[in-house]
Amino acid sequence: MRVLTCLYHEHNHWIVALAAIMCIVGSLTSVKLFQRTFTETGAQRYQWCFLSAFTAGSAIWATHFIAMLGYQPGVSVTLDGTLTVLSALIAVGGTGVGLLVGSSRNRFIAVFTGGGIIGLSIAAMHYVGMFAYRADGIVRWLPEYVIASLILSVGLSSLAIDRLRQSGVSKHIGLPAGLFAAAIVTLHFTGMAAFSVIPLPGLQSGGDSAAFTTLAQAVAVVAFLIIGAGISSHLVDRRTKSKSQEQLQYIALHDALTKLSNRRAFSEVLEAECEKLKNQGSPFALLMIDLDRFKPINDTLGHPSGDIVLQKVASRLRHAVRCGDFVARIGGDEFAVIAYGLTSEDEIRALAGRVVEILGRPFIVYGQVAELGASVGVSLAPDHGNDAETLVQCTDIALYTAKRAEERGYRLFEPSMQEVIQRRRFLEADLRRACMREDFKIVYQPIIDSATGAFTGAEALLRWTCPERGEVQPSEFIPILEELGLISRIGAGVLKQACHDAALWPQHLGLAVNISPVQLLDPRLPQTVMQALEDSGFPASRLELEITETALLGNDDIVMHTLTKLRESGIRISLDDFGTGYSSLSYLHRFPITRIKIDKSFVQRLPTDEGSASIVRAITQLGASLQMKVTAEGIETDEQMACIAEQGCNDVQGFLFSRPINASSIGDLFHNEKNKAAAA
Amino acid sequence: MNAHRSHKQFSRLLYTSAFNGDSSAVQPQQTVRDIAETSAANNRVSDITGSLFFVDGVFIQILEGPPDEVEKTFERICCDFRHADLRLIDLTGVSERLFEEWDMACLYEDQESSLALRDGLQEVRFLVGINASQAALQMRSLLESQSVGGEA
Repeated sequence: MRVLTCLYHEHNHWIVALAAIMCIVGSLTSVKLFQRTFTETGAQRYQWCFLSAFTAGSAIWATHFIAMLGYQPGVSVTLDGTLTVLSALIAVGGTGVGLLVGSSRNRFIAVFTGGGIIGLSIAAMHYVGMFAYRADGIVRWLPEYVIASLILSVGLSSLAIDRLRQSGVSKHIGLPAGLFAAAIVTLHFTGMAAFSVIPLPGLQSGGDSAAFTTLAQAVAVVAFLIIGAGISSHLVDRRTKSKSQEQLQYIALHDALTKLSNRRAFSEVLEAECEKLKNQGSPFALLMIDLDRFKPINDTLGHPSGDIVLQKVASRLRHAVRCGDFVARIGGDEFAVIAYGLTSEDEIRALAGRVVEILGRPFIVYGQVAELGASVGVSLAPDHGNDAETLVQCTDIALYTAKRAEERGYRLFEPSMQEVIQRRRFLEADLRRACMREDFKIVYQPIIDSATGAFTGAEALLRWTCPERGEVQPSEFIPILEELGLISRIGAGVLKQACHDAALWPQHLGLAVNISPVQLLDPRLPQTVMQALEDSGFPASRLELEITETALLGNDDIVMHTLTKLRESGIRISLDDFGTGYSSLSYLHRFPITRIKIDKSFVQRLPTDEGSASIVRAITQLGASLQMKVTAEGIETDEQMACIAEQGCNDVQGFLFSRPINASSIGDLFHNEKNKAAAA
Repeated sequence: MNAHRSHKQFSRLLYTSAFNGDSSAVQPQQTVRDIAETSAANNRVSDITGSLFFVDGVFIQILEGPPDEVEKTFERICCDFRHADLRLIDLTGVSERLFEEWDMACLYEDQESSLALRDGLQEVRFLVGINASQAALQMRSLLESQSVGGEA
């Protein structure tokens, strides 16, 4: 019980308390720092281990000196500088080695060797420190207390290491830190119990103690600073870690290019809004925005310019929506807006209109002008749905409808849109099937010489009867075939079959076959045509291919090459639906075109509509002066026929003469006429 | 001048837009003055010069200056809903400014406008539709005649 007596009688209690606090704070800090060695690898691990050892060593050292300040031996004392510094090095170095061993995988080695090294270094520090302590008196050591102090220190240190390993990276570090602090404190005071000074009679007490006090205070302050540094490095590390966690969170939910929320954030917010809708009934609108003509910008101006356009789109969207609305980039050129608290349809239309308007304005990137546009689909919650999936589906349908509409802009979801899309999906599936089974039919509409009324040939037309939905108009199914990429295959089949059928007609009659823009872009077209002619034995000079103006747009070189090649083999080329599209005169001039077909929309407004009559007249005259033949399509009445004949069109076709009829009927029709002519 | 000048160092941009009546209740003339004032203040900072005309409810504005500044200013205009039916008429590289002396000159017609000014503005409006560079020159000569007239 000498330990307690010594502690009680020979020490200043306040200073002892300070030493204990110092010891506990130091222990907590070093344990906290040491925990980082569990999560780090490589050099980082050693750095944390060193930092922890540095703090722990300082704590041991400081505890010792502060406690020594409180020790009142009743004689004057001095300190040996060299030994004091050496004791600090022992504390730091010993703890460092001990902690390194303590973090090894093997539990036995870690606990006993690591703990032992730490315990012994605490002791070594203490006794070296005591040798530096020069008291003017007779110093006596009690060996049993020295031994007891060693055993206690090693034991407690080992326990501390064991608990520390158990605690891992958890927040409960009280036990290991407490055990470590206990190791330091116990050693110190047991060590002090082993130590006693008997004043020498005749020597004045307290002679040089002022110097000792100053030095010890300096040591304590330095140690304090070191532990402070340890604490702050722990805090800094924690702040950086939480900051980098925030950053990770930001990156996970935002699009790097535009800084808008990303698809994931969009889904989360939409789910949350649907939840809110169920609980509080707060309505909102969902807008999905798809950029038009964005891909060409990437292709022609380059991806860096495309990226800048996207950034500008993002910034414009933020301007177009109201404050607080949620904007996200959910795909390459797809964006979404969640607009809160919109109640009237007018407000929603106004917002969607603003989005369309602002994205329709020109973009300038590196001195180049990019004209974009946006299609917007809008759905309302709860009107169109109250769960995320349904709403996204409705908005998608509205967007799809907006994208397909002639006039780009926004569309509010309507249930009827769903039917349109459904029908289209069915048609697509049926068309694929029909394409495999070759379920298409070819019919022929006779073409008549407007002057003589005699047949000059027939135009082959594609017909398709859907097994479930009945007859489908070519204007509906041909665009789908084009989009599905099936048109070339079917076109080739039509050509082959039509040549085959026409080969049986009287020899003065021609055959006209429509060629889609997609087919015209295919460089193999001349070969396909020649093959069809060869197989059927139908002469090239009697074949006419009908193309539309859209096919001539933009792809000058390829199309020119194909058309020239066809023309060289004697095939004639006619321009279909003339007058509706661009009707560019330069096309007529540049491309090897032999015939113009006036679009039936003009013909059908005859003879009452003056404007149409003028157009028909102008086209006929144009054809005559360019040495091209002119055909008028869609003639249904005698009056129209009279009017057309007056204008001088070469050929006519329409219901007035015959509806499109099947191959055998047209064959009969042609042969009958020939027989009649021969008979006459 | 020196080599820098002979190079096309400036961009000149001409656009037109309609006055978006429902975005503010104030008189269009007031809006024009506001726009001209704020843009003059911004332009001093970004080294842009130009002019803003307002004819028959249509803004005709020219911006000239360093290309990236013109780009930035135009982007800001594109985000402004006081404009409607915004059309970019012309964007060219030029070696000299036409409106060196004006941060943002402003001309519009009101009750007090002279007949000459009205005719001049109408002519600018007509030219914008067919020849952008002619329109720009006409805008400058109109401004010059106005400031001379103002001093007399």
